[in-house]
Amino acid sequence: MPLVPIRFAGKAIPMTVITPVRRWMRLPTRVILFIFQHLPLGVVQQLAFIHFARWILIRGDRLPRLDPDQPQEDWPYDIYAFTTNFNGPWDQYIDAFGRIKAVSKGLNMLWYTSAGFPGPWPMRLFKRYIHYFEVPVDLYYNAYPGATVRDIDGALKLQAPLQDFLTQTEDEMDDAEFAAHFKAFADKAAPMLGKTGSEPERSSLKHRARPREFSQ
Amino acid sequence: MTNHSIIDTKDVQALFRGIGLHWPKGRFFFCRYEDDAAGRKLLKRLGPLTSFHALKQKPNVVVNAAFNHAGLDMLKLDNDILNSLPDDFTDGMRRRADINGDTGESDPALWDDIWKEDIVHLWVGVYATDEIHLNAWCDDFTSWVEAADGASIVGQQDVSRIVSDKDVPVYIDDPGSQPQHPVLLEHFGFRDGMGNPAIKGLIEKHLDGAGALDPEGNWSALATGEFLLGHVDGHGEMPVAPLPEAFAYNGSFLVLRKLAQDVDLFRGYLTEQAGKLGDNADDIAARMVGRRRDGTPLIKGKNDYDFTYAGDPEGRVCPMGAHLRRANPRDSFGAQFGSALVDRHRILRRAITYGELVPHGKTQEEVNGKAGQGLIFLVLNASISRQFEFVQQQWINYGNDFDQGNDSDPITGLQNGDGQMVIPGDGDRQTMICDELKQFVSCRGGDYFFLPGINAFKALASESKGWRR
Repeated sequence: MPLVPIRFAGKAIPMTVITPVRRWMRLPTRVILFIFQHLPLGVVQQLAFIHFARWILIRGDRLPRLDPDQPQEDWPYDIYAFTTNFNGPWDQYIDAFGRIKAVSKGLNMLWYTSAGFPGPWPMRLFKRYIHYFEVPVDLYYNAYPGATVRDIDGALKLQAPLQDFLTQTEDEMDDAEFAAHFKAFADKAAPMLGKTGSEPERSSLKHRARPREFSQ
Repeated sequence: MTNHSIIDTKDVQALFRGIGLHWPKGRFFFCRYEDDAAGRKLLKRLGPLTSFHALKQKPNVVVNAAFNHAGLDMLKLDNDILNSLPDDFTDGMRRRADINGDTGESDPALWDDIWKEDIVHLWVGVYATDEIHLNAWCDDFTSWVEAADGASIVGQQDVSRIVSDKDVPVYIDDPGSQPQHPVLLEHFGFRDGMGNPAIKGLIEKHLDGAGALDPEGNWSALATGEFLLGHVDGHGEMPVAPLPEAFAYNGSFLVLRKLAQDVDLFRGYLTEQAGKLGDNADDIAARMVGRRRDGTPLIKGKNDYDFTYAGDPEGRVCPMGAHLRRANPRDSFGAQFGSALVDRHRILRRAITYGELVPHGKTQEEVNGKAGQGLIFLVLNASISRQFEFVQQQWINYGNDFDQGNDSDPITGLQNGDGQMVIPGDGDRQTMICDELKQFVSCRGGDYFFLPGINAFKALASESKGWRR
């Protein structure tokens, strides 16, 4: 199982953003999170380059300890952690957050209680905020480094037609009949046939994760 | 109808408007100056440049100019100005080869000599109504440069527009694919220059199919600041631009790439694939491009410009991997988003071809000799990394956004030898997979340039010390 530093990992990129939430905002934050957990978030699912996105609130006086002997810390604010994985460049990912109205409305609500959150628009302030609170990821486990979410999605969709084709062609048949089955299968499979796998040596994707526009 | 007063078109270089068929001949000079004084003299000699506005009067000769980073540095501009230039521009195209996929046959080590080091400082693009006017201007200019101290022309490139002609066949094996009406062509024999964006206040004549698409299906012009610095961009912000404002105002970043097109290889490959797949070569080529030779899109739309992809999510009409769809995906990512995920990655193409058209039955060697044929790819955008480099890296050289995995653009993409293009069947036509794609188009050099506004160019040419260190 490959456990690789993110600089050398495959096609998925992790992002962790930890923002402070003032203590009197704890209850409203929990209400917001509750609402989101019980709402269908269709729009996020349509953005195929998002693997998953999760928001968690950790109380500042209940921070996890490695050992019962470790003294309990008491921070003046709560910790609001956002973790996600995506394919493609950082800028493209964050841009999509702001440009799709339904998503940006949702984000505005989710981060509403975070101290200093400027809102998803204008994008420059939003990006600066995300970038500022982004935590470097040192270790990252990737089960399929050579595949993106779309690749895996496609492979799963391919599974059923492939099984059908194999069952249909199990018995002896003449060439013409097999050709008919094969052509029908090829037509069904065609949209899922993009090549996957780790990027070849000669690839232009080495630099894709750097937030260039932001860095200027 | 529209109020154009926001943008002073007398301050914008003519290249923005698109120097069309009225100026079929051109010559690009790549100049160098040894110190700032010589540079200013050269700029003064070049000025005044032709503006967007002046193009309306149809002058006989159009002159535009742009600097690369070495060129601005040599003018001894203030460090604050140089440091405010974006990283992508400062690096230049050679150092960004990894991002643009310029490896293999496009490797900078194989580029034309002038692009292997920082030799070029200034691009001068001259376009003319005919050969006589062009030669007159160019002879004047070259003899002036020869006499000038410290300035030189290190490279030049003749360019011209190619128009299709019934007597010059460009098809491979289907004569019916030959364009019936005269259209602007590139060397593979397809209509060129169709997919350009509509820009608010600048180029708004045709919005449908050219601008931004909202979820309701209405087209509107793209924000000016996506292409022209100093104006509001698609995020409602001022684009990141060099300072001071007057330096960048009405300017833009110009990407210049000399793209050699291997016509023999292209025709040979398609003939071979056609034999294997049982289709005609011109049909396969059209599916790789996304349009027929005369510009008709594979997708049925209101006209050759106004069409959308959302109704074809599996690419059964226009393959997901087709060049057209990759370069400008429109609403490919879902009708409910319109073109919201595409608008920040649009580019203004101002390409022009070099070399003569290779007719059916002749080899490129017979027609163009060693010089070959291709395209001088000119792109204008407000951010090279967000617009040109993004399209090149994510959409041309990679296929994930289109469910195409690692597959790259069959026409202009980087090929590793095992590249493929999937053309899904539609029930009647069977699924075809073109395998072992070849490098039909390779980069021979170029750089990132800053195309200043007319007034900023004047200021750079002047002896005033305001912007100098």
